[in-house]
Amino acid sequence: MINAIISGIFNLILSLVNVLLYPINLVISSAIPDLSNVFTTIRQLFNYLFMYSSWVLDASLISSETISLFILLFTLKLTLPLSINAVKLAIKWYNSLKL
Amino acid sequence: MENENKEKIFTFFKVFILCCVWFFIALLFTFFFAIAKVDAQAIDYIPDAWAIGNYSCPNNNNYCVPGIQGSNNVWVRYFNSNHIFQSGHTYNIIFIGKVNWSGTPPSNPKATSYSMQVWNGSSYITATPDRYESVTNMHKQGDDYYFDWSFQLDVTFDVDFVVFNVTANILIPNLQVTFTIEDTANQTDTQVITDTIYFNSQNIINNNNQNTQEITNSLGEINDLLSDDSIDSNTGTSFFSNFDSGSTGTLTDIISLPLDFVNSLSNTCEPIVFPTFNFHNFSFTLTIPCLSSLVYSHFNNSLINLLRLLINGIILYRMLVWFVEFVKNLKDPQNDDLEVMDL
Repeated sequence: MINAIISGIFNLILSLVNVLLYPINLVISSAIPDLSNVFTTIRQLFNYLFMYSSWVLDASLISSETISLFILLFTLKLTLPLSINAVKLAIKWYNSLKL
Repeated sequence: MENENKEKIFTFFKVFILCCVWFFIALLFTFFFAIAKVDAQAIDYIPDAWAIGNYSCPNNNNYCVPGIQGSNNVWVRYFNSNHIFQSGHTYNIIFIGKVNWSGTPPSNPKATSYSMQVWNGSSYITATPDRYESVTNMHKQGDDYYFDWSFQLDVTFDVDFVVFNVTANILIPNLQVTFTIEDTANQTDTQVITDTIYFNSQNIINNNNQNTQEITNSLGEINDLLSDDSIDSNTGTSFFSNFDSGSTGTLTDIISLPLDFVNSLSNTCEPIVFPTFNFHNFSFTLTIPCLSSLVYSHFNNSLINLLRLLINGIILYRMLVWFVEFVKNLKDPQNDDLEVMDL
């Protein structure tokens, strides 16, 4: 259940980023296609480098539990402030309705 | 403020240099101990031209070997739809078997006997090799056990199929076989094929039973998860299991790079395989294996575990310190930052 909630919030954040950047992305892809190619190249470069991140982590003798905790904390860092703000907003609305 | 920035930059470079030194040592270690895993093969290897069929002979039952497959012996059919063993030619044949018990191996495993039959187009004929060299004791190399059988075969009639029988003194779960066949009249015509076959049908049944049991257990766990909200067996890495950052060629690509990075961390280590290098009639592929497997095989495990504990302890401590700070900031009513904007 908790996983479903956090995954939902995470997808919400991704969607939010996509919505916020949609006009800019549209301008870039239609007006400056060369820049779009640059972004694609940069993405491919980093994806190529990320392919070896697991080997680097293995060479660092970092255990899977540590990596798992890191990802969990990273997810919390992304999702917790949004969740708390949503709760604060809900309480604010509730208080307004009471008045 | 300026001094603080300088200190941060200095700390960053210090950590960076330490990491560089560590990976330099790790790479040196890898090269000295196991980078020698270079897969090389002759260029004239023709994939898919030859094939190994097991006892069941799925595509043409007429050519199946008669007999009963026992608990510790196997028939391996070796055929080629494009070529035949030509009458009047002499062939050098090497049969190599590789077995991995993936656990505690049995003591003194042996390949006790070999035999061979050839198909002349209408019937099987037991072939007698001219030169018979056999190593019956399986020799250990790493985690694998090997046995081999080499002989020379004078073919007096056109042969479509060669069928080998191997008997061992013990039940073997699986067997990887490699054939090398060389026509002595034309030494460049060397064919190599490799395949893995199950050694006996009982083992297949056992594997099927085990798989069925695992599927049943998984279904039970899924039912529990669906019916009981208090169960949440997922780990931190599962949040990124269906991660997709969207279309390519947009600013979102750059913004979501940190997420891609975190997603890539959850992958298990795979050896780095460099592109194949071809030179005249020779090709090789360089592979750098995962370091931890090398370390555990060459050093005392307790020493490595201690080193691992130190490294992970320091990292976990730093992460928890960060987490405490993070929670303290959450308690601050003035702090309404959305961290995603920092990406």
